[in-house]
Amino acid sequence: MARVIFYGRLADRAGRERRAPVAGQGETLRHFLTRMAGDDAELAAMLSGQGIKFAVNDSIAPPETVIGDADEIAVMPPFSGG
Amino acid sequence: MIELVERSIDPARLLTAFAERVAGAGAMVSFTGIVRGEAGKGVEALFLDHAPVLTAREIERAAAEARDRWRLVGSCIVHRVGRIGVGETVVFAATAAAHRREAFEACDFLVDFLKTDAPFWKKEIRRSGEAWIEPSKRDYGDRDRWR
Repeated sequence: MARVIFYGRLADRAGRERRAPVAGQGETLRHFLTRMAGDDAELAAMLSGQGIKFAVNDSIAPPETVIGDADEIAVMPPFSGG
Repeated sequence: MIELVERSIDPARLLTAFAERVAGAGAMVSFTGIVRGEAGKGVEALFLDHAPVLTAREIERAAAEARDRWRLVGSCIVHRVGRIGVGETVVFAATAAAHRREAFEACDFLVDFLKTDAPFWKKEIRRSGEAWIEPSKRDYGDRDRWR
């Protein structure tokens, strides 16, 4: 089961953490998240929205990254600090 | 030095410690960011979410870039996370170099980076409720000056 952590406003909507199985070898991050959102169209739209970034195991990664069951995935809305 | 902290920040103490660490540099610049009251909006505090390992790693990457680009003697970034009340320091950044221009520019660069490119998420806690805040067009424009 991959561990998915949501940050910022996404955590308000999806919860801080979810776990979901990766579908075999070669599944991309984008495909995995779309599958995880399932019938929740609003969440699916948020996860693919403009400015959303991802990290796999604490490194920024594009949505085309192939992931595995042991990975920790961060789903992050636009950054805003300072 | 990079620190992400939940406790309050004392910028004067940090500046003194930084000055000792970079003794011999010809110029030192610091920036202190403070939570604004935004009276019209009824802001009572900010809440800063972060991704502990990733956030520290990304700031370290920017600090390394600044170090190389402006040949810094040293830099210091201390950023609050969690709840931060109005009037409290949210971020302290300092740079030291041989000459003033390098120190000014590097500090400016680092603060622009923290606003738009470091993994933080900022929520305003208002009397009327809460709202996630994203950088303004001006913030992104400031960041783009360095590209």
